Amino acid sequence: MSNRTTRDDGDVPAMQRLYNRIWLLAAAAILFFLVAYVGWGLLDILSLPAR
Amino acid sequence: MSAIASLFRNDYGADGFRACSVTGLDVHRSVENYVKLFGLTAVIALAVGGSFAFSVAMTRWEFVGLLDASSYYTHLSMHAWNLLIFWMVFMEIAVLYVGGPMVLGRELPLRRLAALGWVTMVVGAIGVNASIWLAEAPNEAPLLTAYVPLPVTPWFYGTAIVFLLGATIAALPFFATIWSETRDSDRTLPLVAFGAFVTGIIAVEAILGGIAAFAYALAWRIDLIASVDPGIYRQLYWIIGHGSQQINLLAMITVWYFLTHVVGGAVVVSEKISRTAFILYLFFINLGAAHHLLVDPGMSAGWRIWNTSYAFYGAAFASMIHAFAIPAGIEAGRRRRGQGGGLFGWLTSAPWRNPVFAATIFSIILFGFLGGITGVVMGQIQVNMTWHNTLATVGHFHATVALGTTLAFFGLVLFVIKTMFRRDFVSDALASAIPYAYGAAMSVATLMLMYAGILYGVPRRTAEAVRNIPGSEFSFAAAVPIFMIFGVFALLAILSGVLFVGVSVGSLLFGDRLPDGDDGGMLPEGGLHADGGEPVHAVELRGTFALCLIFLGVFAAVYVLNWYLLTQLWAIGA
Repeated sequence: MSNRTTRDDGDVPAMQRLYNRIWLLAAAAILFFLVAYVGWGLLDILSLPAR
Repeated sequence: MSAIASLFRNDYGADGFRACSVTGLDVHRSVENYVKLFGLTAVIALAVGGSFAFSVAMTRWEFVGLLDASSYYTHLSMHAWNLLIFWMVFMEIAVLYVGGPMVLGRELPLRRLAALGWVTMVVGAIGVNASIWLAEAPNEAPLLTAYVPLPVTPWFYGTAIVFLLGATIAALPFFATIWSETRDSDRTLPLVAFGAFVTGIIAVEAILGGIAAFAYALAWRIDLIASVDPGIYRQLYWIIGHGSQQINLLAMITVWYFLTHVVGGAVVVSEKISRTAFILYLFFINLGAAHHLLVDPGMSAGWRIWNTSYAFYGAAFASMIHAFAIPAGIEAGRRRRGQGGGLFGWLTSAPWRNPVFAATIFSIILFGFLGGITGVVMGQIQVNMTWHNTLATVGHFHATVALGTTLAFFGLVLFVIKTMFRRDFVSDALASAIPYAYGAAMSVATLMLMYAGILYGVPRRTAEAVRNIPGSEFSFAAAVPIFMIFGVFALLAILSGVLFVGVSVGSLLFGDRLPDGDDGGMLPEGGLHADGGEPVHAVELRGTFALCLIFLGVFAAVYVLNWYLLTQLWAIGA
């Protein structure tokens, strides 16, 4: 009952193979967010000198 | 009760599937019923939040001056939570179920979890509404920010967490579907499912941030911990505060791809380009949360600049890719059908009387020109100074959410009424008028908010707009004409929202049932997959190219204008 169409996977372009690794991409994106926004931000706040 | 039960009936085969006469998808009963359930709940939240739009707008319009300052924030909080969160998130769960199991032709897995998620979300939403409405001194109505140490009832934090947990539970059947679809191989998801998946991951980030922030504040309010670091709270809070709106953005764009294809005959011009734009969103869009902290203490300049400029421009670039790819898909699709002469014949010949198509296109245009451009401008670290905490910010998010996402979701609800509830509109003329009336009225109201903020510096969050600002001797009297226009068009926008709810509910209750196989006038000329002449890459996209040049010209003009206005604020050393 699937609506998807099947295709020959013999010669899938590299970009398509990368974009098909959706769970890997999701994990990488969450890790990137944790480092760039959360981790770095917390480091900045916690580095403030105590008054 | 039987009228409500009848809304969930359709003619399914022995296996529970039926073929949709519009999309051609094999739709399972379980998916369809939960899309209806979450969609109906979203419309109720819209009606509640929209009713508070009246009291909020009529207070900011001091010609009426409806509420006193003590009531205003309560009404504003009810307006914000019901429209920015509950209307949006209930719809987004429906979008996930459409983008996942429905597009993939599967049953909805983990249905008990879907039901549990819905119940938990409803309990959380009612709890948040009650905690806002019943807030008494010393507690404050929290609006969205609920910044510590602002005293807010612990019930608010608790029920907000319940709602976020509910949304997480409700999303699990979607992720289970995607997992089942992809676990055995590197299978390529359809673009709409791919967009829905990216939406889901953005939501995971946002919800985790929200739970962390609210749990931190809740622990303080119930005396588990002695104090909260306001800097840490703000940083965590904006992961959900801004991230929830990025979920709206992703869901809206996924809906754009879906509806322009189904009702407008659009094709995907380049899978690679469109998917790349979604991947850029996946990595960069949530970093935009940092633009709320541009003027707050604690963060280093490097953190601010990285998160709002270098990295975030990856997301802005993605938006511009979609801004090209979607109109290009419409142009290519319609030209291939022989429905587009000249530069814009493909657009002028489009089904503009179809409210689903009109709502989708107005959503694209108004989000792009009013919401997208202003988002990039106000996220820029220097220019932000002229926007921050003025009504211009309120104008920006009305452009993104009230115009962009809400119009797209209006289109989706009207589409679902025809294709899933199988009801004809109670009035085609009124249904067709919805996107025009709402789009026009809300656009003017939004522009007036921007003008009041950027040109006059009128602050946000206060009941008083141009007079009696507590603690200020500034005079905003010059902005009075702006508010006269704002008030009238805000009223018209609210009436347009009433029209949407009225037509939607009226169609469900009194609309004629569409016979099996009837497309309800939703399909573009020539059907969903009309036999096109030329391959996509051979179709000229000069109309879209011209539109993009206009967009970039406006973008540059607004950017330069804002820098000019910044230079007028003060003279260094003067």
